[in-house]
Amino acid sequence: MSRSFPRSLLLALVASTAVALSARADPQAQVVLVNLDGPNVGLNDPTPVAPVGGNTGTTLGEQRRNVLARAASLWARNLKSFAPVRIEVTFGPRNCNATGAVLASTGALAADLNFKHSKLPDTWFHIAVANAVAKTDLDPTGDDMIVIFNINLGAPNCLAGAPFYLGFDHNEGTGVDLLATATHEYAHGLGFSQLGNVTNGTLFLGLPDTYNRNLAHLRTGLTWDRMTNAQRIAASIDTYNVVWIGPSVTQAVPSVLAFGVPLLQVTSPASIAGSYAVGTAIFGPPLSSPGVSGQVVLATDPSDAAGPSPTDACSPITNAAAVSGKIALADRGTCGFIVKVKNLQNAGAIAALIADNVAGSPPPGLGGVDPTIVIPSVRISLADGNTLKGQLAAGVTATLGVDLTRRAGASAEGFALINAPNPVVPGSSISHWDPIASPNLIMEPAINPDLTDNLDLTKPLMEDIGWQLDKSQGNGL
Amino acid sequence: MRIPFLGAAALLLAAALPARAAEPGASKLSPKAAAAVKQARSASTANAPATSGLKAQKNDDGRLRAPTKEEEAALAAPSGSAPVRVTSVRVNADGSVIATLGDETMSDLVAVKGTDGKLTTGCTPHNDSSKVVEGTVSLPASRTAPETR
Repeated sequence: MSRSFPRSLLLALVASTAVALSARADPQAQVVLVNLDGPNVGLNDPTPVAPVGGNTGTTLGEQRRNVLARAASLWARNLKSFAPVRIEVTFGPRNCNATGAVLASTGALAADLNFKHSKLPDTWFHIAVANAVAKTDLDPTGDDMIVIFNINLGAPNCLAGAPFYLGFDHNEGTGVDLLATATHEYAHGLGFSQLGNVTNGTLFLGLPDTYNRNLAHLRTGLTWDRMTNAQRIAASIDTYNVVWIGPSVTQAVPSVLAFGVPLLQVTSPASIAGSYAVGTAIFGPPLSSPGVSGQVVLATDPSDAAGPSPTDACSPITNAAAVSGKIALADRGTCGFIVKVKNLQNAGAIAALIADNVAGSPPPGLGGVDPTIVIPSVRISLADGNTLKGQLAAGVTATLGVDLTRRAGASAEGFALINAPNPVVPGSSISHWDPIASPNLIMEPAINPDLTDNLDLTKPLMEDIGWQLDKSQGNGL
Repeated sequence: MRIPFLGAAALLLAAALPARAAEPGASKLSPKAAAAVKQARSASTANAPATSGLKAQKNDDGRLRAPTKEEEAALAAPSGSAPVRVTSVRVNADGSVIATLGDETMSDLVAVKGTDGKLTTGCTPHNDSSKVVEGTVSLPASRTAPETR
């Protein structure tokens, strides 16, 4: 069927700077927002509103349009294409309740294969980048992607109190930053996503996409398109071992990602020596370099109403003499993390390791608030906790700190890390940067509160999948 | 929406419509692309919604033609619900292939409020996001709002 849209529905032409084109120079991209909303709703809501965060729109609909146009402009200024990028946008009902909500749904509307100028045979391209590579609109009657934003967000029984923030300054408070959300969603439609199935390892209709061709698994040395389905399944959950090998991103890693990877370095016994991933705490002092070194000791406490396990540290520690001056190890469960760490601190521990009680990687962080905690603490995975416990009799020594020789979000080889949690998280795994990245990146699985208009590693990724970039524009607005 | 509601235009027919005309680019398909097209069409047939009769779609010039899989899906969608997009492919004269992507390739950005009131966000497949919203599937804990116990 036709993918056409009435021209009257065109909302905005963004960044359509008139550029005198030579025969070979690709122009700055036009991003066209196609407003799917009817009169007086969504993007056309006439409700009067006050200016917010630099957004001077006078109605709710205008402010929404302004934000979506700003996000579109962010991409338009940085990409080149002869064909307009057409994004269908709408505010509509999405699934939500008091504690959860779909913020937005998005996807490319088409993908192309073996089109004019494609240098990658039998490889899918999202249609927007296919158009850019082909230097023509391969399907001029159709749009390139769709984004549906939740029109009820913030209303009673739809994450009340957390509406879309419509300012340009990323000062969303308890709300949801619509600008960052739209920038993230547009990136998916522009090509920052694999079309294959992360759960069963299959490629889209049996063929790789241009995103797949830049993914590699460090342990096997294979790129995604050269793996079997079984290998892709296994690689998808091999945390910190899936990387982006595209040259543009790899070149940009040093200018984007900061040095400093938090980790536990086990120095003895030799049989388990090495680096172990940690999830950092949002309470207590941050990890430092060279860090805290010492013997690892399992803390014990009573099996009581506060916590049934003798190693959950939910009650005052009973082997304080052994724990004092050491790195204490305890198990997750029953009581809060701040209770455990405080008990370990009271026993004289110099640092705390909380071993997870469910399998998975990477270990998530530790949440809670207690300003009286003064020792560093982290979570380690269940498997790593068991590894340490198995060697405690022989004596385990370790350093908990930050490795300043590695960049957060990059492999030791300098490649950007791709999100590969275990267990797999469909929709999140593989099609995002690893959340260990620092500073936070726009295409991590979560919309973090410290995001700005910077397109970080995501802009060079667009070049790796086939876009030409306007590098005169810096990395944002 | 790019998938129009077709109720008024759709007609039930008593006889089958002619089969798909030969695609001019079919002979130019690479072997792998041909396999992809075959896979898409077999999956599309297998996933086609149940219908109570033969349907046709009216072109702008008033002539009847066979509905696309997308149109069939839209017709089959419950009244008032969003039409379900299904993946379909088209072979162009030059041997290139364009796939119209189905809902299974869409993703949803979901936010969940923790007991401390902080939001955790994450992407899920479009077809699975209701499980996250309803709490039967958890989002991975974020660095900015980690679990407290």
